[in-house]
Amino acid sequence: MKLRNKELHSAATLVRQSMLSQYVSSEEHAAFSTGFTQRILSLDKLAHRRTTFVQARRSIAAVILLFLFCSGIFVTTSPRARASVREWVREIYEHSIVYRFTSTSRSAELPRFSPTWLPDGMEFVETIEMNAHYIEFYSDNDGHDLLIDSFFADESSSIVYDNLDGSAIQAEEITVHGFLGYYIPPDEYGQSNLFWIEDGVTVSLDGTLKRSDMLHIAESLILVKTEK
Amino acid sequence: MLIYLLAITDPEGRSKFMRLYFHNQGLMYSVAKRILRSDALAEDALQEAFFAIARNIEKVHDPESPQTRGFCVVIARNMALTLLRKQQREIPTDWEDMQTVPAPGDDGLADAMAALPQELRDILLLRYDSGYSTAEIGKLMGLSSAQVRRRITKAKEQLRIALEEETI
Repeated sequence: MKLRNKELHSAATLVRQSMLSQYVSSEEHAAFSTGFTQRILSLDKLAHRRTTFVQARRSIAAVILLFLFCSGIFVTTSPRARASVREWVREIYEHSIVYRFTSTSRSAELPRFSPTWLPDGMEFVETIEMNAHYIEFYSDNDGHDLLIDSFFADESSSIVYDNLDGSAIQAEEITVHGFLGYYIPPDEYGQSNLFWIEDGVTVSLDGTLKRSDMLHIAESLILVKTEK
Repeated sequence: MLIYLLAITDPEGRSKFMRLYFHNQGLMYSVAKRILRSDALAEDALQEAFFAIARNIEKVHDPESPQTRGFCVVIARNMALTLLRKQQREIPTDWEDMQTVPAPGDDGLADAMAALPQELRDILLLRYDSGYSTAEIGKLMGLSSAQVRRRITKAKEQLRIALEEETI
């Protein structure tokens, strides 16, 4: 025997009527507490308030989104805005690239980076400390050299790449220790450069080494703090 | 509870809910108090019941219809029973009476449905009288959709057996 929905609907209606008839004589006046009654009665008012709250929240979200969108456009189009966010700005000229830092000067502690890996034969030569720069110099018997320069990335410093032969400079984006940096390929003297900014410290490697060695050394650098 | 009641943001839903509340509160209170024997517990059960109704207010077409009244009774009774189980209170002496529904007297499907155990009958009422889906019934009764479907299948099976026995 198959029960059809229509039959079940009719039967359910009859059962409901029968069920309700049980309560006709016993319906009580609900003795709700004052708090419960007030909560129910204030539903309309509170729900209206919620509607207003939801609308206000949506409006605020729209304003925030608009602000973020405009800020994004501003940062994209304005070097000054970019500098204020990233604390440096790259200026590209016909034959040179200038990285100018914009954060305020610091002098409390001079950053010092030292490598934990060097190519075979490369040895430490000397340390040079001047004008808030900490420089370590390395070389090998084959005439290769390496200079590791670390200094605060602040408004008193900048990095300038200038091709004397007038050719265009191509800077390659790289990542060192998870920070954005740039690799400048060898110039006419075979000198390449790699730099990045790590926690407000600019680390710059100049050398006549292969690109892979430069990157390997960069990744192997560890920060050793010294007092000025 | 108030948080759920506040979920009714459209004026039509709010108006519908208030009409439903004023029209059915006395009956729902009677149902809950008969099971729980306590004003405070009956109020707690009704808070949960109005809660469930507020969340499904868009499914209520006419808040003052007998159909909605039946729906309110089923919900109030279910919430009261749930609370009774949670409180581990003593089962009322007239428990059996409370669970039965007088036979409508059609000597057929309606009588068989009225004779079903209360948990199966209530689900059939919500499904075929109030028109709720299995998922909606699950939300109202605190069950999964699969549990609701199983109960509907079981209820139909019991109805078939009852009707076949009657025809023999």
